[in-house]
Amino acid sequence: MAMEITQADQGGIPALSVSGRIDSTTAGSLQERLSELVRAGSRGLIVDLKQVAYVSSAGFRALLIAAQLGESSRCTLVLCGIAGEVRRMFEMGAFDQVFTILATREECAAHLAGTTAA
Amino acid sequence: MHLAIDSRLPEIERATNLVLAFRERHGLPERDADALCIVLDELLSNAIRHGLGGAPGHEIRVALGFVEGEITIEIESGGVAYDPTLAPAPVLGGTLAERKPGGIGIAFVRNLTDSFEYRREGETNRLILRRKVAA
Repeated sequence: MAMEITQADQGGIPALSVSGRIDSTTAGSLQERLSELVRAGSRGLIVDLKQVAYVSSAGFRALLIAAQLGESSRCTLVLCGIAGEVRRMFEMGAFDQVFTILATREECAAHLAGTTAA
Repeated sequence: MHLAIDSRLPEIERATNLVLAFRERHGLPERDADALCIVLDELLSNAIRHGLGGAPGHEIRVALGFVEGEITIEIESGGVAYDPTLAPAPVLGGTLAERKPGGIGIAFVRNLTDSFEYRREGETNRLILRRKVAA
């Protein structure tokens, strides 16, 4: 499986669950999907990477560009489900220091509710 | 195991499929296969973008070997001389807004392999990488 994205609602916030691999052949469609949601006016976005096998630099680029677009559009991107080798890649690229990373979608939704209420 | 791909980004998926077959043949751990996939994704996309200027129609050859607990990756491509081992270390600090999206791929390659060598042989860019598989 290359990559699949499923979308759900988590406490009023769009939550994307990504599975498979995020690399140079799949990152473009992830970035497009995230950018669409930011432009649609969502106040927050949850991206669950629990089912992701690995993320290459093209994948981090897509996540970073979407998060930066979100920041300039008052839409906070929050990540969850990052463990094992995927977490190691986040740490290797110091991406754990620029993204907001929480354990579960529920925690992400609670975080975003607090952020947008403030 | 060998593979020749055309110099287009969608072709990299064929290299990913080669890794899956390679993993099965040698009974390699998943983390090593994933590392190989990342390394190939970074180096093949770099060869296409930088060495070949994004032009399709050029052959890139990939060979994978596994001997005495060590994986060998060899990549041969044409185009201008392009030595990714000379890529500078990325700047990793700063806020979300300050962070630049590029420059991390070669750092991943260095981190996921034990050796990373470049040779210019005639008109060919040749990369040789090695990764030890934990016993």
